[in-house]
Amino acid sequence: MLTLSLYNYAEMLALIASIIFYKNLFKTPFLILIPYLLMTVAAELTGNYLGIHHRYKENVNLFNITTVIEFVIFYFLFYKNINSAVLKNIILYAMPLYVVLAAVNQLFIQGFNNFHTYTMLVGTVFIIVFVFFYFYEAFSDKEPLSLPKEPMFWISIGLFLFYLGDFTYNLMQPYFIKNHMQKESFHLFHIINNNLIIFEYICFSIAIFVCSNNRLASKLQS
Amino acid sequence: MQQQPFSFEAAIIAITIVFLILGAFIVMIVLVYRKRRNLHLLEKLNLQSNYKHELLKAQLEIQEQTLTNIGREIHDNIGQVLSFVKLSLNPAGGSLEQLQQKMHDSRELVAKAINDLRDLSKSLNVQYFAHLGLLKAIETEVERMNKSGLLNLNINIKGTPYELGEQCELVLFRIFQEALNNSLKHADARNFTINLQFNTETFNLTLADDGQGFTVADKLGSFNGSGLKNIESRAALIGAVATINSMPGKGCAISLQLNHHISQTNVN
Repeated sequence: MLTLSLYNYAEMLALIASIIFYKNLFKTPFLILIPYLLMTVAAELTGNYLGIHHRYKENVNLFNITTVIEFVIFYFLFYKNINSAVLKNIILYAMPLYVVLAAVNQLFIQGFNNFHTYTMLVGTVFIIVFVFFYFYEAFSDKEPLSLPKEPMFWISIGLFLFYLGDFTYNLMQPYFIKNHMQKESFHLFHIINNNLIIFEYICFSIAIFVCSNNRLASKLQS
Repeated sequence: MQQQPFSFEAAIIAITIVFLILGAFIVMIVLVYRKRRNLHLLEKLNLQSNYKHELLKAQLEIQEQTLTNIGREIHDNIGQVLSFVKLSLNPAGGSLEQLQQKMHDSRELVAKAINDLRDLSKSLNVQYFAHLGLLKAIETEVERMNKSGLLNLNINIKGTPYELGEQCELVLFRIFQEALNNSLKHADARNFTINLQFNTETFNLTLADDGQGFTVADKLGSFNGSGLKNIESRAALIGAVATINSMPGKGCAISLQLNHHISQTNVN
């Protein structure tokens, strides 16, 4: 029997929001959130199932693939929502570079049967840097801009806080695995991590809602 | 296997929490800064829209004034000339020589009327002012007024004239028209002096009449003083400082001082 955590429900909530408002996501880069959320929910449920049945290797294999796809999808969203040609180019080159790095790591360094913590760390750093790109543009935009009405702002803060919180964990994970982490610490990290996932997916749901609101506003204007 | 000491792990967790607080703080800064920037941008947009509105108003007023002048000119000048020609061409009596003289005079008068009409039609062109520039526009007005005999206008120019920018010149010309109108309609003035001083850093425009004058504070405080208030607010719009000096029986002098560089920045 699958036991779902609160963060699983947060992910499902975002998926349901994206399906309900799918029409408003059309013709926007945020349409990619639908397959992304479908993949995430499916991966989490499958991972849960595999965990219960102690099929840890398959579980790691599954997340080794989905996390790489996740990062590429986030980079794509930043690429589409940043205006500066220079920053856009950096993100554009970062996408294939990340895939290559992850492939090299999973094939030759950490192996496909171990979780790719090194490239998770690289992916996290990329995300944090891209969030700063977005914030920099939001700072310097010469037109009046209401950030809470920008879907990308919500996605950015969701990703920013999630990956900031996850950064030290990803950084120290190989060390902790080697030296056996204390149960209490592991529990604390899990609490932080789970809450950050909930926060991240609530932000994604708000982004989807804002997207549909903007669409409605522009319809009313026209 | 040895377990990691809890203090080390606690430190890592503390760092994570610090990271999160820092992240939340950054998000807050971005939000607050953006809100302030939005307010500033909206204020700027408002100012720009007010500026454009005032410019448009000044432009319309100039056109209105031009039409009034043209109407007066047609009535007082061209109308008179053509009436005189009509009388001259009256076939009643006279020798051949007299008739030839009359024909000659009439031809000259018609030619003058055509010239006057050509000048007037030029001033009906919307781009006329932009084409002329401030100095030439004022000189044309001086010439026109002096010809009409309603007021004696004198113009003094100091320094080498330079352009102040179309919008700035438009506002200055409208101020000049307003002051001239005031002198004509309310001041009962005979002379009107225009001083234009083109310095390296500043441009000074002084418009003075020898009319009946008034108490500045009283005038600015009353409903009738809207013309003077307009002069002050329009001067401020282009970054100029307007000073109005007047006393009953002592005429009126309006001085405008404009920092050439500031005016360019304001327009931008």
